[in-house]
Amino acid sequence: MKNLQTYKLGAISIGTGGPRHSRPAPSGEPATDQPAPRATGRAKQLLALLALTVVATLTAVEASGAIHNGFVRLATFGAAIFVAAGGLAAVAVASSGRRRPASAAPAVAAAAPAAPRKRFSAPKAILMLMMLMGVVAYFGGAGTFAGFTAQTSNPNSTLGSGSLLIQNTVNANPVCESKTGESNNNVNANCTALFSFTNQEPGVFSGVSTVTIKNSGTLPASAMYLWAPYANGVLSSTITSGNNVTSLSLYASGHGPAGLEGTVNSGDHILVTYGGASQTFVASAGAAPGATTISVNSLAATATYQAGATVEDLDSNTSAANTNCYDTQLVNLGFNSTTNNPLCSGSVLFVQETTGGFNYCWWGSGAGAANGQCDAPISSNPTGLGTSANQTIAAGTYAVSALKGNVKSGDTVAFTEGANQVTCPASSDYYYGATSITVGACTLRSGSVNGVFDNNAIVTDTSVLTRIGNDTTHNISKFDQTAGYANKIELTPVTANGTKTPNGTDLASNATRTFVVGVVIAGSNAAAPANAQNQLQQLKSTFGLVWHIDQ
Amino acid sequence: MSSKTLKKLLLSLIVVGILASFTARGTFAVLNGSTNHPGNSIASGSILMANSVGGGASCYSDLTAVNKNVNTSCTQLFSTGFLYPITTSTPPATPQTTVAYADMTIKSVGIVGGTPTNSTLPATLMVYMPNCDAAATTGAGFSGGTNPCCPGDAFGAGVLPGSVGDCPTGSLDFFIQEYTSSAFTTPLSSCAYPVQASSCTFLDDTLGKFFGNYHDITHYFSLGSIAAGATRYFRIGVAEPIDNTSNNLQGETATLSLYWHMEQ
Repeated sequence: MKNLQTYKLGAISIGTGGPRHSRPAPSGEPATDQPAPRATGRAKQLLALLALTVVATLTAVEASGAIHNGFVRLATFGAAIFVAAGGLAAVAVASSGRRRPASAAPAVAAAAPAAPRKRFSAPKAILMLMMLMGVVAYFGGAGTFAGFTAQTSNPNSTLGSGSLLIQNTVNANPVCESKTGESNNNVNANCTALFSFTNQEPGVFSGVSTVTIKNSGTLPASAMYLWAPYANGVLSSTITSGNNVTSLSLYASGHGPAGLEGTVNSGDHILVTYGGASQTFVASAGAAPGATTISVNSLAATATYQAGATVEDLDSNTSAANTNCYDTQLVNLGFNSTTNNPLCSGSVLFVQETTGGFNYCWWGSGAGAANGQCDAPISSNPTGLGTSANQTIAAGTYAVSALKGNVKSGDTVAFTEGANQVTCPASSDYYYGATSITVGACTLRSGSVNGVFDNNAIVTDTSVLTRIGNDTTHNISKFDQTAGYANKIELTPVTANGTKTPNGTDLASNATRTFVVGVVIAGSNAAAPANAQNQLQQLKSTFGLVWHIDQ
Repeated sequence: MSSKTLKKLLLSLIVVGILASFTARGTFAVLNGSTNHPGNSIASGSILMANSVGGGASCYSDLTAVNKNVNTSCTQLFSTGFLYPITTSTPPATPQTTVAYADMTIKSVGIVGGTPTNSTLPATLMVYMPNCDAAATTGAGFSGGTNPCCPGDAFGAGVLPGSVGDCPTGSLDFFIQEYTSSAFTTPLSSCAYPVQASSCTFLDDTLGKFFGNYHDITHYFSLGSIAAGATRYFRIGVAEPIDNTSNNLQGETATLSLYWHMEQ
């Protein structure tokens, strides 16, 4: 134990109180400090000093604040203590292991000449110096750099994130904002329905809605997307973290889709998302459109999902039978089955941008056309023919009520009033909103009479309806199957009719873009009686549409 | 420190590193916003049809998956055995025995779940004659030899005019007169077929003209629009021609069908 006391940490002990063992042994005391053992003692000293140096260095580094991570700082401090304890323990072990009875080496002790005292060997001095540097660094390192100093500080630096918020407005309805979505993750599943067309018939103009999309956030959106949602719903009962979940309850109304929008099959993966948390469940049974419950295999919730969370079937939109769009039977006519959602497959959807007067057909018959037109039917009225039913339709320019579709140059424009119809070729392209049409030489339909037209006439584009009747790839069902999340449509900026830029900011902060969205039941161009579409009678198709922006 | 301990420490550091990596990615989450329009919908309407003959029971378009709104088994229009040449073109008032009449009621309505249900869409009402078969009247002892449906055509079932157009002269007389009500007492001021500005009269060759021009779904005669749920009333008249003194239509039978069709 006496050897140990020479290595106490007090600085004053260094060089003054240490080498007691080098004194001549008192009379009667065993001669334990002989030359051979001194060599081992030096190693012991070096080991102890090395431990102290490491301790000091680590402590100094820790104290300097260079290590910012709390865990690492704690680990450093622990390592210092650990090394110190280990070093001291090693010294103790070495010391005790070296002690031998005095009689064990009397001859050696006697034969060995008295070694000259060496108070500081070179290694010892170096180690002492290193330890001193550690101590100095700890207590006063800052003062060791310079006598002259200068310093400036930049306090109160802040870092604030921007926002990406999306607003959409359908016609004159209230603005729908992503930030107010119930799912607490900037997703609003409860915007106004685009339209609710009833009592429609094939090959006839149904109507359109205009949608204005605005980036109401502070950041530009590099990407803006349109896609078809999965079969989905909105959670109506909170799921508590840790609880076993065997079913998902969906709102029947007022929060987004009316129950389940689409079809869930047994085994489908159902994703529930609320805020930043999400979890996937597996449907244990199928669920029909409109269902308010989806049964799932029992699984403990890994987070709490509040009512309002989004519920999506990740395995939907793979066939006409499980699309987000679903058909319901309004009246059972015996021949109007909803199997495979025939009206979803028989109704053509079109989405045409009109921002700044530039048109681009993003989805629909005619998508990507050079003139920017979707095949969007019109149903307009002349506005300059009066009401006397005595006007003749011939080549010329006719004022009409604002078009709610497009007319392509060369299309057949029909003026129909009662049983009389005159058809004329369009002289140019006319876009949504146009208020006049110029036509070339006209043809009177067999059995019709000219000179009986007025403002009650209906103006249509029969060529558009024919093209829609031939389109089999842009119906709602195909939209769901080919333009879902995985194949979403990026709405890059449109710079001219039919021209989009390949990249760039899709929607700058506070910028808006406008779109016309329409749907029409495609007529059949087959010859009678094959053109009958009775299977589509008294059905209703229901579907969703997603607008999305990314930073 | 043993190499084993060192390995453990290094492995733990690797784990910490991986966790830190995931955490770091989390701090760069993509900002986004999304709005959905659920519940967009489009619904189709319906066109259904019923007809009745002489005030009898309604015959509805067949609402089955097999027949898809078509019923080919409605009541026959008439079965008159002994027509003879009329003496005036003015249709006789009922009751009468010299001509064949069928009073048709056409409704834009179907039977759904046992309940008559109106169509929801307006339609165009059409009619055509898919067959008019000539035969010698059994037991008549004499047959004039001229096809009463389309003179020049052969006798027999399923014989159609060779082209679309008027048949040669010499057929029976035929008209379609619309009335204002089920009483069939007030005809409209015009004749539906043959097209006349006045009420219908019996005119020569009119059955041949009708059959020749309107004998399939692609060649139909339009009766104009019929509103959703509306009812219209028609009298079909057939007679021996007023001037048939050559006996070439004597001892013959014409078996004809009329298909009534509604289309949007």
